[in-house]
Parts: sequence; C-alpha cells; structure tokens
Amino acid sequence: MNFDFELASLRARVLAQLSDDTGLILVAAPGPWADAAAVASQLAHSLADSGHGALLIEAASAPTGLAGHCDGQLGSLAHALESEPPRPGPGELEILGGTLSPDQIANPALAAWLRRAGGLVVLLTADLGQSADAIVLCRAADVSLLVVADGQSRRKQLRTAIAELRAAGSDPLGLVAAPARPR
Amino acid sequence: MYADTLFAGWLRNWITIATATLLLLALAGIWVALEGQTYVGRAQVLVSLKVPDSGQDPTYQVEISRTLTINYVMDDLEQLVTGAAFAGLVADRLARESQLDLDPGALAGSLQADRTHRGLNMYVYWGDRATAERAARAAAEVITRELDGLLPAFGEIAYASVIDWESGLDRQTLLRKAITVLLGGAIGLFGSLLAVAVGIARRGRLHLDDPDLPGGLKTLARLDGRP
Repeated sequence: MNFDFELASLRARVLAQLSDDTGLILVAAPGPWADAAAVASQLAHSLADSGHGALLIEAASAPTGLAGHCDGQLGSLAHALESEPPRPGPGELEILGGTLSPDQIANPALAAWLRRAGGLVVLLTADLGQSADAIVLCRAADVSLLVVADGQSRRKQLRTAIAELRAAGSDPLGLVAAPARPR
Repeated sequence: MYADTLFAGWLRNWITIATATLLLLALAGIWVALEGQTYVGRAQVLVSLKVPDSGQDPTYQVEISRTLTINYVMDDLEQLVTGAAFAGLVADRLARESQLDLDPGALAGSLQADRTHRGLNMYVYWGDRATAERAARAAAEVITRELDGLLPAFGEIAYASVIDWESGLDRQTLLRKAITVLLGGAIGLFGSLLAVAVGIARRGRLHLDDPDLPGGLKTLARLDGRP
C-alpha cells in the first residue's frame, strides 16, 4: 500500500471519530524514536487538502522538530495566544508553534483557547519521554494518536504512555508508524 | 513474550539466522575437510589351543578346561594389543619389514581390537590406506611370531594364525564427519534463534507486525514510507 493511501486511511479513521468539522486531534510519541512532527504535518496537510479548515499547533515544552516540516509557514503560538484563536477557512492550513513553558502548557487557558479554535486542530506535543505535555492536554482532545517508529520505539515506553493517557482520561485511537526521528 | 511475537522476530531476522547457520555449516565443513580422510586396516587372527586331551570325561571336564583357557588367552590378547608395549613391537616390525617409521604412541592410539570367541580382529586407523593395512597386518604377525616376549606362556598353550586382512575407507569416520557438519549447522541455527529471542526480550523494541501490541492498540496507518 502506498503512502497516499495510508494517509487517506488515517484521515478517514480520524474523521470518523469526530461528529462535525471541528475537533482536536492530539499527536504524540511515547519516546524520542519516532518523528511525530512528520505525522502531524502530513495529517494536517491531508485534512486541508480534503477541504477542511486545519490548524496545526505545536504545543510543546521541548523541541518536536516541526519547524523542519513546515517550509517557513510556522507562526508564533505564544503571539497567537494573546488573541482569539485563528479560524482557517475550508482548505486552508495554518501552522503555529514554538516552545512553551510547562506552566503555560498546564494552564487551563491553553486548553480552553484550543477548544475555541475553528476547524480541525492537529495538536503536536513533545514526546512523553521528555515531558508530560500530552498528558496535560489529552483531556481536551477528541482523538489521540500515538506515533511510533517500527523497530525503533520501545515497547516499555509505549505501555507507559498508554497507561498515562488512559489514567488522564484519554484512550488512544491507535498507533501510527512514522519515520525514525533524525538524531 | 508470546510465541507469535517470537516467531515474527525470527521471520524478521531470517537473514541473520540463515547466515549464521550457513556460516557454521561451512566452518564445520572446512574443519572436517582439513582433517583429511581416515582409512582402516583390519587383520584377523585365529587362536587355537594346544591343550591336550586329559583322557578323562570327554564330555565335560576337558571341554570346560579348554573353554576357560581360550577365554583367558583371548582376554589377555585383547588387553595386550591395545597397549604401548605391543604397539612398540608392531612399530619395530614395520620399520624392519616395510621400512615404515611410525611413532609407537600414535600407533597405540590408533590400534583397536575386537575379540570373537576364538579370534581377534585388529583395526588400525590411519591417514593413508596402505599404512593402515600394513600396520594391521604387522600387528597380526607380531601375535603369530613375536608374542613370547610379552606373553611368555602363549606359545606353550596356543597357536595363532593370520587368516584375513583388508583395508578401506573408515565409514565410522565418514559418519562422524557428517554428524560434525550437521551439528555445526544445528549450532548455528539454534544459536542464532536463541540470540534473536534474547535480543527481542532484552531490547524490547516495538515491531508493528507483532501480534501483541501494547494496550491492545492497532496500527492505523504506516506513514514511515516515502511520501
């Protein structure tokens, strides 16, 4: 099966979990091995290409590598947080990112701000081995995806990540295989 | 670890397993090839007693006496021919009669005897066929002609005669070599299977084709290929 088919399949599975054209999709890796930023970026582009308004947001207290996937389209999340969230139109994609402090991530105002955003929001956090960003934000998400690198990610880290997400009230939808993260 | 996970791990690493198996098979093959071929020389000696008829009860006493005597003689002979002293006599005879200079120690190690009721089969294992046969025949001739030094009473109570000799490829060595090669392959196969199993258990890497993915989660999509 080719890449486009796999991506379309993922998009369909995610959209099937959402009741309308809005929703928050959390993308996180259980450890440092998988390039979750690549998956988040491809999913966001795919959602926009299929006619949805998409917002890709990097809400992370540690680098995720998203800047390498957005061809200079990356806007400042810290700056955007000072105003109302953007509402991309159908087929539009807006990308916001930048490192936040753990306190900013844990602030309920961030979750509320994300919920007010229009369209489909793909929320990328730092991997669970580095920070608890995904644990803090998963309750606001409608769908959670765990990104792993086949043959690289560790089973133990994945088990821990699943347990932590479930304990926080979010059951991951499934696993997405990503390229190994450049190290 | 589930058996399915282990099996999937072996399938993933089939190249490693096949390489290790073939490598060990090849090394074992080279090893037995370097060992060279072994030939066996065999000589058969028949021993007859000189014990006279006692003139008494012909049914039991004399026959029992003869039976015991031949047993003692054959026991002594069987022990004697595998010893270093006998090998020394054989080496001397070979040097004298056939101009073959063999180490008595090596000859003692390669001499084996197998007794029958009134005979003795002697085997000499050697790297070339002619030497194996000559050594076996020399061993038989030592028994028939030169044994009095080692077993002084032998000449008084028994005759020995060489009745047969032959030589050929040692089939047992061939079998041992085949088993060695197969064993090498088996060690390579089972060693690599074990190493892969230990690697899977110790490293704990996640493989998406494993049947027991943590948390019962499924793989939704594979985006690890080329876009």
